[in-house]
Amino acid sequence: MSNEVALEIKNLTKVIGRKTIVDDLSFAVRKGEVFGLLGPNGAGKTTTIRMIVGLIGITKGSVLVHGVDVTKDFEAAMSHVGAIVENPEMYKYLSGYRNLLHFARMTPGVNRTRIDEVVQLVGLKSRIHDRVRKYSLGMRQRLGLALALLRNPSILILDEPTNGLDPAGIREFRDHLRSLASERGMSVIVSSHLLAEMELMCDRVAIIQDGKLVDIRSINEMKGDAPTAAQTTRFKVDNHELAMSIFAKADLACQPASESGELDVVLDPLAVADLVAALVHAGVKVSGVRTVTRTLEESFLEMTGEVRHA
Amino acid sequence: MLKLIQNESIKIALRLRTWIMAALIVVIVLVAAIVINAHLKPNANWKQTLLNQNAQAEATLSNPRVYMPPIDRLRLKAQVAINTYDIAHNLPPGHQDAWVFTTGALSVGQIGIVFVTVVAGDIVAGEFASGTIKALLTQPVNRTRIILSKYVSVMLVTLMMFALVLVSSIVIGGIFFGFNGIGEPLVFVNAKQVVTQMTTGSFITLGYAFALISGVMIVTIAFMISAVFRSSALAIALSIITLFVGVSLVQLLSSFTWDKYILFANTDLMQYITGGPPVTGMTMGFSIVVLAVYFIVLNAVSWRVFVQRDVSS
Ligand SMILES: Nc1ncnc2c1ncn2[C@@H]1O[C@H](COP(=O)(O)OP(=O)(O)OP(=O)(O)O)[C@@H](O)[C@H]1O
Ligand SMILES: [Mg+2]
Repeated sequence: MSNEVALEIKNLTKVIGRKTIVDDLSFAVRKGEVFGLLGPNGAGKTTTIRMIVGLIGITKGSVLVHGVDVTKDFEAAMSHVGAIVENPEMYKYLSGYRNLLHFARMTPGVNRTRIDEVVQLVGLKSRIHDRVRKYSLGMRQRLGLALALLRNPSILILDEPTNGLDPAGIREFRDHLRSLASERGMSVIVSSHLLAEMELMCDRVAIIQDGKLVDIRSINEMKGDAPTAAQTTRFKVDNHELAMSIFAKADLACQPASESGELDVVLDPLAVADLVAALVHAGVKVSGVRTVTRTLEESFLEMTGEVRHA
Repeated sequence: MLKLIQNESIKIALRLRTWIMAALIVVIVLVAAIVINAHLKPNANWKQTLLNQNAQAEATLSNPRVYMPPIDRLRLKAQVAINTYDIAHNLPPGHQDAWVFTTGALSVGQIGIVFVTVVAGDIVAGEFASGTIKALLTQPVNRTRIILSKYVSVMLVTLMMFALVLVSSIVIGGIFFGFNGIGEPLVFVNAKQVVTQMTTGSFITLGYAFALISGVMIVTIAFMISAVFRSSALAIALSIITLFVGVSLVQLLSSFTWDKYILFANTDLMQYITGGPPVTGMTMGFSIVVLAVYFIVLNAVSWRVFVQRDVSS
């Protein structure tokens, strides 16, 4: 992955009526990077993507594709971009092949050889001459991906791309994306609310909530490989009430870990020793202390505030 | 641009309904020929019948005690003139040949326009309804070129529809009634209720040219409605309703002078050749200007709505 920026979003804002749906969003996607847009339903992921590909107007801010402003030179910008926005809808009365042929005519230099190539790549060869009407959802997703890849874009934008794929399909799809990014230097932007999927696919994710950027993290960072300031530490104690009052005195949030009856406390790792001393001093028997590696899901839920520590 | 037009034309051509409508047009022309043919009864005494008719008419016209509105008086005079002409040139009334039949088939063109309205009403709204608009607008082609290619394709369909009516009525008319008579004069009552004549060839040319202009205007309205609404069923229904309501509205409001500014009072330029305009004082020049203004405004609206609109869900 290089440091060259492929797509840059600056202060992107969308207001519809009185509602600010996307609020001052900024991020940059590097060449060869798989970049995730992560957020709960209604966070504004699709709206952001629609602005990037010019389907809806931009209230404020800008989208730069290799330095080209999408609103200023749409055709130049879009010649680098392949996209699927929400479900990939195609002409149902045409065959998959004719659909691809149709869109191939809209980009100079895309010929039948290229069509055969992408059809092969997405594994739709045996059914490509059937009418799209007869396709399953997964097959339509594959056709959508073929369409997005047709003009060999340097930036691929996919909104909830694994929707409708079976587990084998998802795995295959993930491998495609990883190899497109690492071997061809393609920048891929995927949106999803499926955290596990993001974890496996992305290099970095932007966490979005209520249209605002909460944070941008590399996946490794989120999984807790890199130590962060606060970590969850799990205490095994005999007297819960007493222990909790001591945590409260130290101004620490604490909640019982559901299955084991242990107590989870979020605190700076350096403060663990002092806290154990305080517990022992108060007569609480501490039979176990360990740090809990947070899953991506926990980080995400914490950041988007769907679960609050008591 | 040519490839975009090719795309749009292919999408129209690969739909079954397009061919059903084309086949219907040919069938209607065929049925018309069969019906007309069945009613062509050679009447040996037709000259005498016409002479009697004329004598009766002259009597009525010259009788000062018969009250008759001036317009009817003119029409009756015209009928007498046409009868006299037919007798002199040995043309039995209801005389048919491929060319006379082709002028009559112009009304099949009106049905054809309704069909083209369906295509036009669907061409933009249909992309929204099916969701394909997202793929269409995320290609490296700006929206102005997309809407233009769609408009051009709809115009090509209009042109082809009239070509189909023309060719099928010449062929079918020829088979049923023979081909002689293209240079023969066609006698008709002009806009001032005076009997006029024109060669059948010129009449056909003029008739189809004017029908095409009227077709273009109606299809342009349907196209604008299509660009504004995202449901193709609604766009198609609204376009057809506009067509029918528009035409009857003009007749209903013909006592008001501003009626002449309604588009549908001007779409049929043939009214200046035969029949006369709905509001007295209208001229062909006036109608052409009105049509041009509507044409520009309707297309400007379609373009602006399409280029500016947010494509969400
Ligand atoms: N055209 C519109 N008019 C008004 N509100 C809209 C419009 N489009 C989207 N919204 C609102 O904007 C918010 C963000 O929608 P968006 O589709 O971008 O979310 P998302 O992150 O893609 O969600 P999901 O995970 O469900 O796909 C939602 O609250 C939605 O109701
Ligand atoms: Mg979405």
